Amino acid sequence: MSAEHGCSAHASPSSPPLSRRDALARLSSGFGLLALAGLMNDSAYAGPADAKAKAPNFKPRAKNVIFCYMSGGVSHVDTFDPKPRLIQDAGKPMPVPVQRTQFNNNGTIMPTQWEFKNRGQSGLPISELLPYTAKCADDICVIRSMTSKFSEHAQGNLFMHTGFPFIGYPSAGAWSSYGLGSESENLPGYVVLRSGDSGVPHGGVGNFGSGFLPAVHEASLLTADKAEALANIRPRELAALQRRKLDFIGQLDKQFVAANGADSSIETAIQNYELAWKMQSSVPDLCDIRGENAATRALYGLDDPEPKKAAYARQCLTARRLVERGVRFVELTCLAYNIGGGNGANPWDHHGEVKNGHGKMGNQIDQPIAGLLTDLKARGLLEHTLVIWAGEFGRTPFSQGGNGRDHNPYGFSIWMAGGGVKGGTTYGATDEHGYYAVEKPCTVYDMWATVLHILGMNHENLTYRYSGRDIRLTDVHGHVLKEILI
Amino acid sequence: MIERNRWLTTENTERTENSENHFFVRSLCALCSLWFICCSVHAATPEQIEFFEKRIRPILAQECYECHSAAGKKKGGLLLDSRPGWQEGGKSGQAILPGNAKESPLIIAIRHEGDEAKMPKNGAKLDDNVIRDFEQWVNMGAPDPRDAPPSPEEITRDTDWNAVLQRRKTRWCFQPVQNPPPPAVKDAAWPKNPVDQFLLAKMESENLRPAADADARVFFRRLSFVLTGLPPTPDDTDAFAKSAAENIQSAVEAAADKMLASPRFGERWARHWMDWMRYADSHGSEGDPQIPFAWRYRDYLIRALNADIPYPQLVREHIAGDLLETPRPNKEMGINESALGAAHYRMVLHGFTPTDAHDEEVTFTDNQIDTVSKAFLGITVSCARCHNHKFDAISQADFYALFGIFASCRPATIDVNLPERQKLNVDRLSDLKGKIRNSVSGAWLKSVDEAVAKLKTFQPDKKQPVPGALTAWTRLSALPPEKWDAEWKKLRDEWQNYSSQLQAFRAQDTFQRWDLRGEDLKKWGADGAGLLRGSTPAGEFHINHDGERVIANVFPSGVYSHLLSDKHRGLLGSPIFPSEGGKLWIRVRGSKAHARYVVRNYPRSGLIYPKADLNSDADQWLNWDLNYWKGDTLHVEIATDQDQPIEIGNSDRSYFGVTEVLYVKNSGGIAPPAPTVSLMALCAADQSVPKTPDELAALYSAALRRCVEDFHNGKMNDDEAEFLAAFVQKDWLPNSLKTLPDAAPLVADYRKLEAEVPVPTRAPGVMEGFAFDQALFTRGNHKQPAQIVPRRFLDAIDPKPYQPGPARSGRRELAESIVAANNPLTNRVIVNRLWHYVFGEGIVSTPDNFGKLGEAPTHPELLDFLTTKFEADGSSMKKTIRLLVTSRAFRLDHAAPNDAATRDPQNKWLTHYSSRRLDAEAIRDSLLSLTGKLDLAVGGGPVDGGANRRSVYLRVTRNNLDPFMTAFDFPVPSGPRGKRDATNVPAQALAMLNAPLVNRWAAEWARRVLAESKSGSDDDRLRRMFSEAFARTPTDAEVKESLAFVKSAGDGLPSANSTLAEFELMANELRAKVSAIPEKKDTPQPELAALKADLAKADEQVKEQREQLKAMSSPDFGWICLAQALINAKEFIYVR
Repeated sequence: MSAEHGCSAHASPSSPPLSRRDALARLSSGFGLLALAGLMNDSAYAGPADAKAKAPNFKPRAKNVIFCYMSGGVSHVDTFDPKPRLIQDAGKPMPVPVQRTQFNNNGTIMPTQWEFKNRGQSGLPISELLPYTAKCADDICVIRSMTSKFSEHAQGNLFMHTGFPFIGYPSAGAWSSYGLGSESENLPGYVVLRSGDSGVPHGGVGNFGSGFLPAVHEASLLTADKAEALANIRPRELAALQRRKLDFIGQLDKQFVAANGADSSIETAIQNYELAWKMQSSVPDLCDIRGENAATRALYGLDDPEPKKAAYARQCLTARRLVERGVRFVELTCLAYNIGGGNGANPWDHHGEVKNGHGKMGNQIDQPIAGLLTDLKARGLLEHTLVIWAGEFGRTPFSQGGNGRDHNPYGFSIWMAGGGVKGGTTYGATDEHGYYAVEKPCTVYDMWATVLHILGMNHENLTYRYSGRDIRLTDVHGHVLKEILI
Repeated sequence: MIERNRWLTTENTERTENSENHFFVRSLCALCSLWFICCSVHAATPEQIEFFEKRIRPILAQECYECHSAAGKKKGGLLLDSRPGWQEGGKSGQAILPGNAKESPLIIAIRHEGDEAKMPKNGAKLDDNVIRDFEQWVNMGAPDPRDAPPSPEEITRDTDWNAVLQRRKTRWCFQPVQNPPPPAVKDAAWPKNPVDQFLLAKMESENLRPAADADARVFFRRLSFVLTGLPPTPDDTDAFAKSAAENIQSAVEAAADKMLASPRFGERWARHWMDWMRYADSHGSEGDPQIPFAWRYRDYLIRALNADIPYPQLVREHIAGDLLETPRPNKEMGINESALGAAHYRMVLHGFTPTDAHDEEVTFTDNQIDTVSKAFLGITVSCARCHNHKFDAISQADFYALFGIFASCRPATIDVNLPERQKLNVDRLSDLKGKIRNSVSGAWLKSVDEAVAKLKTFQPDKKQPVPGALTAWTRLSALPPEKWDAEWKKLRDEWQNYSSQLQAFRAQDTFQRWDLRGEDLKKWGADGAGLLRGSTPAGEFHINHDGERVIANVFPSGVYSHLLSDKHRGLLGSPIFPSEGGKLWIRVRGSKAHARYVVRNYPRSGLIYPKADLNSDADQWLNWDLNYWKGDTLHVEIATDQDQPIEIGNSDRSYFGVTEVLYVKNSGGIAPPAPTVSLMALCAADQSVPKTPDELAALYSAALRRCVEDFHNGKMNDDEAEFLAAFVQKDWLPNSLKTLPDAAPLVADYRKLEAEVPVPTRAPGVMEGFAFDQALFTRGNHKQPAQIVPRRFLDAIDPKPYQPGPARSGRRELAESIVAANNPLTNRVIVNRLWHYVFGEGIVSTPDNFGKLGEAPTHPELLDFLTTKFEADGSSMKKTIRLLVTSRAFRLDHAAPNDAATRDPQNKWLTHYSSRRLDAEAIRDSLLSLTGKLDLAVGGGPVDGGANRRSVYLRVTRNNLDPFMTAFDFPVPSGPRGKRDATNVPAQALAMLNAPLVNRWAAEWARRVLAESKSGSDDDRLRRMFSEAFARTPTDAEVKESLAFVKSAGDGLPSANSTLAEFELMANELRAKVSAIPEKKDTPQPELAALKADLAKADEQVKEQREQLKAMSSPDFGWICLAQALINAKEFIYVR
């Protein structure tokens, strides 16, 4: 906490009253900084896993991950996977067997309504739905042959996050934190950002859980634009009083420990109070974005008149700030427009009105994410930050109910950028209608095996013994996609 | 990165080579080993070869060949399948240095001493005796007669599952339970019971001494938390301390008895049990639907534990409580307790309308197997879904043997009322109904002409369809006489068409057809008092339970759930059948009832899992196209409102009637005509054509008279019933209490008896009826079924197949296998669980896993002694717990004595009591106790975190677990959790410091203490608070510090005042700035927006600051601060 930004009235009982400037600074970020479900410092954690930064298995390509999660499922044939055949065959039935869909209201082949263009020096095709992202084409590697095993949201989300379709398993962010620890003293290893009314994907916070891993690795849900960014972070009393209270508690604890003899668990609990104090009383400069200049604000679209886009931009900017502070794994959440089935938990889920729904969602995330990529690159952070853009599945190349698209886990697109990934390239392919992945199919296990590899970990060695066996993020599967790496 | 045992790890291209070094070592070793081979193989004695064959070869084959054989993966280039193979060495050199076990990388790896390689990879460490065998073998020169890699036949022989099973069965947990006598100890005065003798003997052999006894108050708090989960009251603590001073042992025994007898005991220990059964009130996933009445299972556990029901009985109830020959009645509640035990099968997670229903079924059945096998057997059968267990004596077939049992059951909401209550008044209602029929039909016979006269004045409402019976009248009467002839013919043709169309529909090719009015009903499963009568002939009727109208309706033949009362439940399920496309038709009626087809027992509804709500008292044909589910198996289910497995309604009164179900092959085939009846049906014999309204009325009269007569005689046909129903529903026949004076007293009696019919006591459960043996899935892939596995128990314990037949799942047999005397697991597991909660760590510290990946018992003899004693004591959990808590060991001080802290840091030998953090429930319940508002009501529906009920009653919504509980490691209910985490994270500190609810509780505590001690001194209050929070008196220093803290709490007032002034000033400035900027429509004004946001925050700060000032000005403020501080002291959340 820097005195300049000062919650100095919090810092000690003897501090002078809050100056107006201090107070203003405090206002800008609320009382609090980060409450950390799993904040870590050197010795403050009990449990089998040490949360301190650990050496990776081998030289990592990236230290941090930013996971732009497109909950609900983005249509790949409208974004990153051009399929001219869809225009040619528009209105015809699918020439290949169609798998069961959740809505069982399958129409005929429906072409995209966004023009694809070759972008950047690489010529990577990206549709007009994402014009800003298109400008970063040379940094992006599109995996066009992504597959999932589940065509419903909750199982799909959990599978995408944890490698298993049910709650109770650690999220990839938790695994990363467990495997590598945190490089941040005052922040958790895994942060999920929210802003505005962005929702938690179906499946609930279990998507971000630590499962059977120590709770310290669980995601902290941080609402980037709220005064109380994290639950219970704000003291409900004068800081001076709380400090006095903590000192008094400390006295009681000291006697308790003295009577108890050495007990590391009790000592850790005591240390956690100091840590909690530090967290809530240190300057919340993470959420305080006053220092960001106008160019940066414009780059992300922070002042966009569309409030949901501005809110998403806030997440993107906060993500960069988290990465700057050494947070291992950051995940972003989209905001919904309630169009055609795309609601709070699954904003991209356009079973109807793809044009309108995807149009709005594309607008929301496009400039902010492109801004994030650009900003990371300009600051030299993209080299050691892996940005992943993915939903739980893609959408069908044929229509649902006329103007929507149903879920398609059999072949869809995700992309990665930064972190030693070959920009301006594609990997794998779907069939000519974009329905099934036919060339180099990529599984969720492969995706995480690759991400862990990029972080310097062998996915087969990152295990935790639970329930009678050594469990992995990649279960018993997974191959590193070496081709996409530099 | 340099690794010693590189050849043993997975290949990793990222690693740097260190080839020179390797080469040197390798050459050296090769030389050495060559020398050994020359000497040792030739010198190998027959005894040595036998040693290899018996002790080494099977382990190599079973544990190593997969990765290290010519036929296997050749990991690290190392082969262990022949002597030349290992003599060659791997990529990083020699694995076996004959004669030198200590430095042989293989031995280092299997001892798990290497930095990197721990072999077998990803596996459990080999048993100590096996490791010793290997050391011995290497030290004797590694005699190995295998000159060449084994043939496939040899590999098959050596890795044969039976051989593996036999070896793995030698693990301690599969051995029969022994009855070792308590050992002699040197310090014979120390032990208070046999438990102490075992523990002390071990301490003595380790040269350790037990700690002194704990302070009586500290001990009493410990006892209270362990047995009741609540802190003791100061009065009880004082009383205990006093009697303990006289005779500690009898004081402990008396206190334990009192607590064991308290209802709080069941609440505490039921919550432990709920952890093992992954208790939840919802299924998770999208929508997170409720598990209806899950809480009744929780209450069942509380009652059962309070009543100390013997453990085997509870196990039986969990596995097959709904099927027990002699169930355990609860007379007071009128329920069958045993049936509630099976509710845990329903605590599974369910996905949201999965397109692969079979995969979903496999997943939730897997979870049932996982839960039952871990909770009751302490082994992980679920690990054998895709292949034989990697480490334990569990085959893949074992998994599918159990799978067949559980998948043979259907998820259901069941009625746990005792049979006599389910059938209460059924006979008397039936009798009365006969009398009512006589009386009513008598009155009707006299009123036939009157009824037809009413028909003459009938003015059909154009918005309402005319009942078929009245069509002839409405159509003819609207026409001039000259057109009657033609219309009459038309009516006749229409009726004929109807009949022939129905016939043609029924004559179609079908995959399945069930006429439930006949024998086919027997092929279906029926549950509920409403279905006791099975199918009934035409002319059955329903009597309204209230109101002026008497008879609601008269029915054609069929199966009706409400013939005596619509409080009766009904659940009707067809046999399973494969979907082959086509269309399913069901003729059905009902009120607030539901009909659906069920795919692979998936209980939820959704677009691809359609469900029909029945809300019409006339028959209709439902239909569903089944092409989507081609290749899956389905069944049909029809249920009253609350009797589906989930997504139930809330109506206590509901019914359905069903007649036939046809599954036709051609989904575009003939559709049935809408059910109806015509006057023609009753005039078929009469060839005359009515010319006038009077003649038509006469035909109606004759027809109606025939209907009423046949109704009276109980000999109606379906057409007559439909025809009569039309007149009854119009109330053209007398149908009120007033117009049926003779029947009225009978109806009154009927209604009185009907009112006594109890509403079912519904609970989650499963239904039997359609059992099968499951095919094993190759590699766990449900799309690759292989050989059928008969339903049975585990290979390792009792492989004999059950013979439950096609109608029974085999759960009863499974229940008996689990509690059988020859099963060494069950009782050891429960005894260890009880120990775990008393001492904080089990004798086996992995209570859910006694298998290879679990820990070995620290005191195996003690575990067996306790298990034997448990059995001898009638499998009473309370007796075992009493034995443990009255031991001397449980009474020890929490500080490690002498050098125990260094010599036994984990306190394995229990020289002292291991202090530990309280679990989430105990912390929350303690806070509520302090407020004085803890509501000690037992049982009932779940509550939210802000309620004043004990935490065991909190709602467990899978997607929305209580954040306070979760912060303190309340487990995610996905699988059994016999041992909770006790993590330390700042979120806990923040919750205790800042959560508004916790602050409120602390304030309530302070105010209560102040109110209760109005006349008392500060000193007294302080002592009271220490006693309530910590069950002890404060030290002098604590008194002084605490009182100083109370006094100083308000010191911040001036500073707070000036801060408030600053905030107010700032808010005003901001307000002025904001109002100075004019707002522009449709133009973004980021600066203004930012200012506005600041203003809002400033206003909020002002508000908070004012509230803070108000709080600080209260005279209780200091004490409230003290209360908040005390609950944040670690002593509050630790038990020691």
